[in-house]
Amino acid sequence: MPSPHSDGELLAACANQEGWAWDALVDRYAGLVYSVALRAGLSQEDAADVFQTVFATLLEHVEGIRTPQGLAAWLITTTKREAWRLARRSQREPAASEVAEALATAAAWQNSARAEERHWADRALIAEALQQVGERCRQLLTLLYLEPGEPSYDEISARLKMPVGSIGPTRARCLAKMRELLRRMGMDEG
Amino acid sequence: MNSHPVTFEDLIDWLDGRLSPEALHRVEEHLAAGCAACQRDVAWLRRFQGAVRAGELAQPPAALIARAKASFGARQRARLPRRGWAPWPRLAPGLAALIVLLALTAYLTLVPTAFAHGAVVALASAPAEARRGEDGAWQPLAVGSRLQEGDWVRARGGTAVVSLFDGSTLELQPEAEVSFTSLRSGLFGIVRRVALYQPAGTVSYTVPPLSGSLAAFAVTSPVAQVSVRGTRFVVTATASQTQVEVLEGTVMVAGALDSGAVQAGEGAIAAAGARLRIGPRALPTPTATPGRGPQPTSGPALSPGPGPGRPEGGSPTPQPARPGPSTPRPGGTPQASPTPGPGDANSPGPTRTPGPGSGQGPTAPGPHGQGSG
Repeated sequence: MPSPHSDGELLAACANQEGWAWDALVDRYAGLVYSVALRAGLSQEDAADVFQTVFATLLEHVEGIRTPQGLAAWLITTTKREAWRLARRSQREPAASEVAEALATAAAWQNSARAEERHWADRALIAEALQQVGERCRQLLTLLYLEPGEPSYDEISARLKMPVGSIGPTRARCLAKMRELLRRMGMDEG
Repeated sequence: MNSHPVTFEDLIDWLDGRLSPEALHRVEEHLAAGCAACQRDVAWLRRFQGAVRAGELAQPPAALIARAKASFGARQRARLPRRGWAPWPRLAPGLAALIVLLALTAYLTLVPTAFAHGAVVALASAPAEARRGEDGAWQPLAVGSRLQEGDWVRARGGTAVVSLFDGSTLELQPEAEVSFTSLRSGLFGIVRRVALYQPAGTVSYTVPPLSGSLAAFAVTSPVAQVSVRGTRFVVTATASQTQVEVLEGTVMVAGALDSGAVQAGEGAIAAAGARLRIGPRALPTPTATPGRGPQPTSGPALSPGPGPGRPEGGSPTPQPARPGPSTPRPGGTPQASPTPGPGDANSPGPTRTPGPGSGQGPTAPGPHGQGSG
């Protein structure tokens, strides 16, 4: 269930023993944590273990987090650390090809990590905001930004039964609504 | 022109490369002029586009999400024992009410004056009379009549038996008067306080055993107070003298100057301004001890008259009892002669005076041969 609350509001509600807030946090960041774990090179099984560990750690500290605006970054960092620990525990003699692949992955990770992490953290919030922006906007923004193949305005006009001339102004209004929703959820403007 | 020359839509189209050459020129010129609002809009749009183009986040299996959500409830349940006092705030009002109820019950149980009771006239060989308060008019009293605290009762021309709430009975001889000063008890009757005032006449009391210090039964006369713990005794009172004779148990008698315990078979005389005298009572009863020697039937061994008394503390030295005139008592009730003997009431007689061990030591023998050996 998408929540319009900010991370700070959800953490405060969790500290007040309100279970709905914890459910909302898990819904919001489940994809982020799992994706980061997979991106770290873990199998789905290991990613599931890391996923459980990360949320257990969050639950353990849920009453002590003082900078809720950094929650997404904290989750990413914790996921990466747990993935690294798991990889060390199950260390075996790697094949030469695996070593090369791991090195390439690590290098790619290092290079792209910061920007990608931020995109993923934003993406977790955008996914929730899309559920709250309204059906018409959700359909239009999904076709414009998330649909594979980038359909043309004519295709969008046909699928949504919307005049081509209305697509631009409607998109602008929908993005403004998204911006406001994301601002309320804690996504800064920078 | 007051309106902003570049709209949010223009900026979106600019980023998408959809602007006409004229519009493109206008937007870029505006941005180059340093419009801060437009710069913020462009930054946000780029961030949004970067996020949506980063690709879909992989979604974990639903069971994994469900397990992570369930951990919150499990943590709360695991915390409950550590928050042992958590239920108490909800129980506090009930607990407080229970404590108040228990305290009230304890108070009502232990305070001997919590509840007032009454007395009933059980028998009367001749019409008895009662009055309400000291100044009330005497009214005829029938058997079964109820009396209460503050009432007075007297027997006229015969005896009257009054039963009290605690099982005690009073047998009033003709012309005896009793006032019910206190007829009270706590809850359940465990603690009780019976206080009577007997200004005149002879009254035989039968008091069931009292439990420890929780119950009190006292008879006050003009010159003495008799405290009992379960016994049978007779009190004869006048304005200047009170005689107590104990048939069973022990009675504490307090006179004007001193007090002492009077055992079964003993009597005590309290006179105004005189020390208490204790000695063998006048008449034998079925419970009298034969070993104490014959008891006079023609007169009391204990009389209010003076005589060589036993020293303070109960001297074992036998002293002859001072003979005195006897007065027959109705119903076999022991009664000492109110007539003074050769001395005054303060003079030592054939009795012991209360002191250490009084009531426990040997009784002084009378003149009729009773003695310790």
